Parts: sequence; C-alpha cells; structure tokens
Amino acid sequence: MVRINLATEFTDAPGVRSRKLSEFSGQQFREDFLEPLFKIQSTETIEIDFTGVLGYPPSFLEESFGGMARILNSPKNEWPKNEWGDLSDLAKAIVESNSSRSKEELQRIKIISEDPILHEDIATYIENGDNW
Amino acid sequence: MMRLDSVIKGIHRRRQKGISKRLLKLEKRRRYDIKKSAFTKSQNSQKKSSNKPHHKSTTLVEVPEVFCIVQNPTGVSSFFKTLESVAALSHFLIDYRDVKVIKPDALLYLLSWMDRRQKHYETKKKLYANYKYFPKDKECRDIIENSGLTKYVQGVKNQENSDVFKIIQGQKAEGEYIKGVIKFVMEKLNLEDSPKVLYNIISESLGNVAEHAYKPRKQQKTWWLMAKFYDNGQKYVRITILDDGFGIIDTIKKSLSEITSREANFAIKKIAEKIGFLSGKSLGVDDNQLLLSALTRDSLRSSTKSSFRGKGLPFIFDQNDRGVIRNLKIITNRAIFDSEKNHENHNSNFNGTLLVWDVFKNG
Repeated sequence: MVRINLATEFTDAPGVRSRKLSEFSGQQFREDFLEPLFKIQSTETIEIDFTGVLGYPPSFLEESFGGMARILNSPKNEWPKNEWGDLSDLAKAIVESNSSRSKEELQRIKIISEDPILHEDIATYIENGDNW
Repeated sequence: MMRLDSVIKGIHRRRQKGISKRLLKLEKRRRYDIKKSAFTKSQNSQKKSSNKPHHKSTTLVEVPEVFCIVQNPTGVSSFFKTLESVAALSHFLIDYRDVKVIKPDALLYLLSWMDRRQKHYETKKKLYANYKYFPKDKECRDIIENSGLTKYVQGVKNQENSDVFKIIQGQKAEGEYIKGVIKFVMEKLNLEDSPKVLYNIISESLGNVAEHAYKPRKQQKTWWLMAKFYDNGQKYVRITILDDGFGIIDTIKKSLSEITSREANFAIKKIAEKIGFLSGKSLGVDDNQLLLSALTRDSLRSSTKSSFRGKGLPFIFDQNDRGVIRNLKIITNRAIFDSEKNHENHNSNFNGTLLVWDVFKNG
C-alpha cells in the first residue's frame, strides 16, 4: 500500500487547476504523485490523506482526479490539441499505451477525510472526468 | 654660455609646445565626448518622453460622492473616464474632499487603473495623494489610511486598524495569501475551525480571475484583495477581489469569435434556448444575461471549451445560493450581477472582474 499525506508531503494549502495559475496545483499533484503510481497497471491500494489541509478547491480536485481519469480512459484521438500539448511525457506515454487501461483503476485510491462531501466530489470528478 | 642657454630655452619651448599640443588634443577630445554624451542623453530622453504624456498643469479630478462601484457603477465609471482623459494631458490630483462613501472596490479599481497606466507608460511612478484634498468625512479618510494604500500611493499615511485586512496583490492563486485572509476571518468572526469552503471560494476566485487571461500583450494578470470586518448589529467580513484581466464578458465574446461560425451558431442557439432569450429571428443576449449564463454553468464560453473547465464561477455562485457566502456581487465589463437585487441598467464599463461577497459567522 502507498500512503500520501497531502499536508505533509505536498502542501497544506493546495492551489487551483494548473501550474500557470498557482503553486501546488492539481496539475502538479497529478504529475508528481498520481501519474507515477499509475505508470503501469497495478492493484496496490493508494491512500490519500487530506487531514490538515486548509481546503481543496474544486478545480484542484478535478485536475488531479478527473485529469487522471482522462489519462486512463481517453485514447489519444479524443484529446483536443491544446489539452494534449499540456500533458506531461509520462501522461502521454500512459495514454498512448492505454488500450487496456481504464479509469476503473482509480478505484485503487482510498481517500482519508472526515468530510463526506470530499469523497462525493472526488467520485464525481472521476466519473465525469473524461466527458469532454 | 649664452649658446647653451638658448639651446635649453629652445628645448623648453618645444617641449611646452608639445605639451600644449597634447593638451589641446585632450581638450578637443573632452569637448567632443561631452557633446556626444549630451546628444545621446537628449536622444534617450526624447525616446522616453515620446512614451510619456506631456504634462502641462495639475488638474483636480473629483471623486463622486459615493465612491463605490457596487453602489454607484455609473458615477465611478464616469470618474475613471474623466481621470483617464485628464491624465493624458496634465498632472492630476484626486479630490476626495466631498466624498461621503468610499468602499474597497473603488480603491482596488484605482490601484488597478494606476497599475495599467504604469505598465502602459513603462514607469514606476506612484499615484500621488495630497492631504489638502483628502475626505472631510472621517470614516472615508480612515478607510483610505487603513486600507494599506500607502504601499501603492505616495503621500498617504498608514494607520493600523485590526478590522481591516490590508490590500494585497498577486499574480497567482497562492495558498499562502489565502491563509492570511482565512486567519483574519477566523479571528474577526471567532471561528474555531478553519472554514475549508471559504478557502476553496477564495482560491477559485483568484484562480478564476487568473484564468480570464486574454490580456493585451500577454502581460501577467494581477489581482488585488482587501477584506473588512463590519459590526452593524450583525458581524461579517466583506471580501473584495479585483483583477485586471480581460473581464468575463469580453472573454466569452473573444472565445466565441475564435470558434467557427457553425460552432458559434450552435453555441449561441444552445445558450439562448437555455436562458430563454431567443425572440423571433434576432438574437439579443445582453451582457448581464451572458454573465448570468457564465455563473450558472450554461456559459457560452464553456460551450466552446472542454466541459470540465470553467467551474470556478459556478462554484462561487452555488456557495452564495447555499448561503455559505452572502450578497455576492460581480461586476465585469458592462455587466453586473447582484444577488440581492435584480439587474439594473447602467451606463458603465469596467476592465477586469470585481467580486464582492460577505462572510457571516453562521454562513
């Protein structure tokens, strides 16, 4: 099992969607933490602990988890040019080899938080992430 | 002996002649250098001055009695138009003497106006204020001195007031800035737990303003934030955020112009159907309707982009609907959204986007 404590290992003050809009953005979290863990298919559980963070802006959550759903579920031909251009090399490699991948793999992620809305929100972002 | 003397004198004369020749050469060189440097300086100053307005005299520009964009959009917009035209021709001083109401939104807009001007003329010259023209009204004077304006405007005294979170500015939606605002709100409203939703709302506000990034010359967008605690029977903190971007309405329109006409027609039709604004053959969507559509997820702008984007404004709007924040007001370009009252017709045009809302203890 892999455990990520957001407040101590990333930040207690997450930013918004992209690196160009803020430090500690959803894009940064996805690229630095999630993409390496989904580089190859696995069944290992990933626990993400949100204890101690000051908040979790919706665009941060969408870009982290919805973004990961897009990478796992959308073949290259579904990606708009500008979105494709913004992807990291690792994400591109995952997409290009994704015939056998699916966003169901994100079920490996277990969220640690007492906030029930956070669980719901992340589930929704994963569910709708690849609705272009 | 005589011969030797004349020989020595001759040598001395020739040497002196040589020295004076060298001195003459040096003197010529020095004069040439002075002329050259004076010419270069004048060329540079001509280059600079062509970029700056030619100041002739000082003109007083009076602020309206109600210097508040939310309460008096037309008056404040007209003030800035006058300021712009006066500043192009002469020195100016802002005359606050007869002002009765000053709110943070107008102060932030003044800073953003000055910032745009500094960028345009590539100068770091600060706005200058003269106490002779300061408000007669004590409350108005206090807000100027408590706001932290002193950092940006020359000639303003700085007063400490624990009920004011002084103006901050930035380019990105940084958590560190937001931490400060959250701390202020918690202290003022005696909150025990850090309000996560408020953190999210402020983040999305700053992120949203940063995302409307169609900025001339690709300059980085700047936002300003100020918060003030009020205790008028009810205790609340009013948060005011302004950015100097393109503005929501102009961003939507620019997005539309960038997609193909077939797609635009489809997007216009789609949004028009949703907001019930399709009448007969002609389509007239006014700016207030466009803003409302952007707030309610039906935006023309998000119709043109990936559907997972552009959720910041609807999120803020939802939180106002749920009562987490109250009295949300958004003013951008020619549009005003006021959650407390119906849209009014007004004759104003503002750059960027202004967001104002209140946080109550039991919000």
